[in-house]
Amino acid sequence: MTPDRSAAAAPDVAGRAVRTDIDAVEATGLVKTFGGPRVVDGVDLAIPRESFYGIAGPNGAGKTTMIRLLTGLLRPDTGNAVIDGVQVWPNPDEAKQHLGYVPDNPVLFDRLTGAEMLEFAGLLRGMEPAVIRHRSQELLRILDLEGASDRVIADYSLGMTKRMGLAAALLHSPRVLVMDEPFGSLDPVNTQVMEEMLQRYRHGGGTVVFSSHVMDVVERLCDRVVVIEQGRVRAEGTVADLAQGRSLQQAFVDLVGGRDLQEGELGWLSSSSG
Amino acid sequence: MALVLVRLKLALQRRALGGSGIAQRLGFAVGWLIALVLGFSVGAVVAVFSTLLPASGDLALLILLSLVFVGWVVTPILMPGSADQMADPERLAQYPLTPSQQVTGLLLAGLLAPTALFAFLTAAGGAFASSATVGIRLTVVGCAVVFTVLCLAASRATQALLGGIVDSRRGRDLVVLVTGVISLGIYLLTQNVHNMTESLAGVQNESAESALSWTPPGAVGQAMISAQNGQWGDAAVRLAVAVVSVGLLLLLWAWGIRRFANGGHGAPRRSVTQLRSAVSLSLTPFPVNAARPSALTAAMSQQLRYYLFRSPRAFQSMALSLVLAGFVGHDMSIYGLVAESAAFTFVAIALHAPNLFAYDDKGFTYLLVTGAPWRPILAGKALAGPIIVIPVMLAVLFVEAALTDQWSQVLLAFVVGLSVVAVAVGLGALVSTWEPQNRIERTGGRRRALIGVTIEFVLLFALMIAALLAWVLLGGRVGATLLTLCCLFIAVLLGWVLVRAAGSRLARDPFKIEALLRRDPR
Repeated sequence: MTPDRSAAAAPDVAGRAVRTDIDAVEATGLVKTFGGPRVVDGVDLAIPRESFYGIAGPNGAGKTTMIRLLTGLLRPDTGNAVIDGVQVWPNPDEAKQHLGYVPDNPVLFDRLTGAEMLEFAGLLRGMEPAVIRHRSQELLRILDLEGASDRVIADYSLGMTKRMGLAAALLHSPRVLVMDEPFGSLDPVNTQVMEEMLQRYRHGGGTVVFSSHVMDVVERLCDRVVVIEQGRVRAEGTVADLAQGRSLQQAFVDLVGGRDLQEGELGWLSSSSG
Repeated sequence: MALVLVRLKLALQRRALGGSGIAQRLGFAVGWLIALVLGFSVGAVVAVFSTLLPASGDLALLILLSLVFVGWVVTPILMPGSADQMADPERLAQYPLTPSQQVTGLLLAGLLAPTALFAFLTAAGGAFASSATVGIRLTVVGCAVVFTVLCLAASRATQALLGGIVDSRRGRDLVVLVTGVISLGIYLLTQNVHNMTESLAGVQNESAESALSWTPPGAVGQAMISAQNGQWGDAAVRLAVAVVSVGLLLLLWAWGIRRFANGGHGAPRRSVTQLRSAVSLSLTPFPVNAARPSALTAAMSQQLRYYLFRSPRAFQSMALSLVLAGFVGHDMSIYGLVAESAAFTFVAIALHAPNLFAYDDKGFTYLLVTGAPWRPILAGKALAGPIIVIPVMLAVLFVEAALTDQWSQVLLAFVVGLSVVAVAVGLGALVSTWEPQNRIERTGGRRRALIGVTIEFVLLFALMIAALLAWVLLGGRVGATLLTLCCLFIAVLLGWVLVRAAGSRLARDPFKIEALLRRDPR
């Protein structure tokens, strides 16, 4: 699975050599168990470079576990993933240099201020102080965190913490950005700003992978979607392929099976008898 | 509604004991049995005092009731999780209950608890004094009821107020700091209990008794004493003080609930501050900034900030270990400044060095997410402790030298202290990668962590003994200065090797550490 590193490369917006002949993320036969049934059960994925890629699935389908496997936060029982040409195992730390990850509930040093956190993130990644300073200020301004940069993250709302998580993940300009439910807890204005940022990031050569339950967002943003159910790939393709003329929401429900209420069930909810 | 809360209270009590089935019922019964036995025992002591030593027994009763009362008040502060959670306004706010309904129901429910039984039996002990008449016995029992309600109301009012405060981050920090101060106070109290006893003996009993007798718990006690002495008027006044106190506490409790419902419990909004100067970095201090910031300096700066006020738990741990080290070092000062320095640094560093990731909480996962270099991170975190401890050690040495005129020993003592710091840091780093504990979320194996700290203490102590032996055996031949410098060199080398080994161990499998620090490693 180790790719041929001599293949053609083109510079990205930051002037770095970017390989255009390989997928941004490849996963082969990923399997993970936690002592019981397989949470991720033989997942194969190929996520094209410079794409918006959605991961959808019902609750408990194994999306987060799969994301943790892709990002080197969890060691697969079998199988492997490749991020930007780097095998995640046995090189998780090298792979992490190529990606940024924003968990559902961002993990940060919550007793540092926003500005301190970004400096910390940059120094951990070996960035130059001047670069850290410049990028931090820009990210804080664009993500509307400038006024909160001197407050400790523990005092942030969930939406602010998510934006700070995104700033910390983007600071080193990774080639692949992986996000778990990125748009939850964001107000419409910040959602729009984040979408614009991500589009710009994509046009600059980046690849965005995110999981979401909100099919409208997936439908609006993504080029391709994978639907995971019980740890397996249930369907994968372009949004149009999966939707087949329906809304993506309906296509998803048809795919994983909906639950309809029977006539008369919860009838007491429609009365005010108490 | 009150009965519903009583049933809820009983159910929560059973659940709080953990386990299920027979074990749960057994635990429930044992709790009541212990309260019954302890309450009767203390009550019996009070009865004996009232019968045999009525004069000195009066002050003892007032002190006893005051201590029980203080226990009730500080328990929700010291151990917020220990109290049943139904008194937390947030939990009952979702139901259509007025504050007065909540207070009434929770008061009745609270009386059905082993702790309330203990308070009642303790206070009612005087009713069993052989000299008491039926009227006195009934009065004492009535006073005991008032005392129990007083304790409960004070405790619940505290909890209701805290219930709002702990919703804000600053409130939680404040609670942690208050807990630290109270713990420190208790430690100092136990350290000085002998002196205090002697002092108390010298104080006029009347003045202490008079002061205590007007406090709410003391007033209840004084009411009992006055009744036993036939001073019914004074007894009524004291009891009125206690009853009014109960009323005020109930009002405070209801106010706490109402305040929560009105949303007045959160932290005040901070004014928006401007972005700092674009010239300097925020995290790393200027000297480091001017030199070469790196992962090591970033980790060191982060840890330093946590120790110095940013994380109250980290600050509390550092402050307490320094105070404790000061006491232990001072106790050792009779053996000279070198012994004091060694003892001070031993306690100051060895207490928190073995758990370098204790206060990072989710931050450890962030380190994992970034693929950051583990060795420099661990080294940076390990260096943060000595940066605080070494200047404090130096200050302690100067003060002690000034007091005892041992200036000639300061340099030697300082070098010995540095040697202890170096080895303690190395051992601590190694233990940190063996069994860390998350002291924010209280996760991780406490038993193994305790074993780790014990091993660190034993090894450090053994190395100190070995250094002492070398000193005794070689000191005459090699010269004290050279031997001390050799010790320092070996200690620094050993510390460096241990920190590197710990860093390598961490880099090999950081997932294991993450799993220990997180509740859900997925």
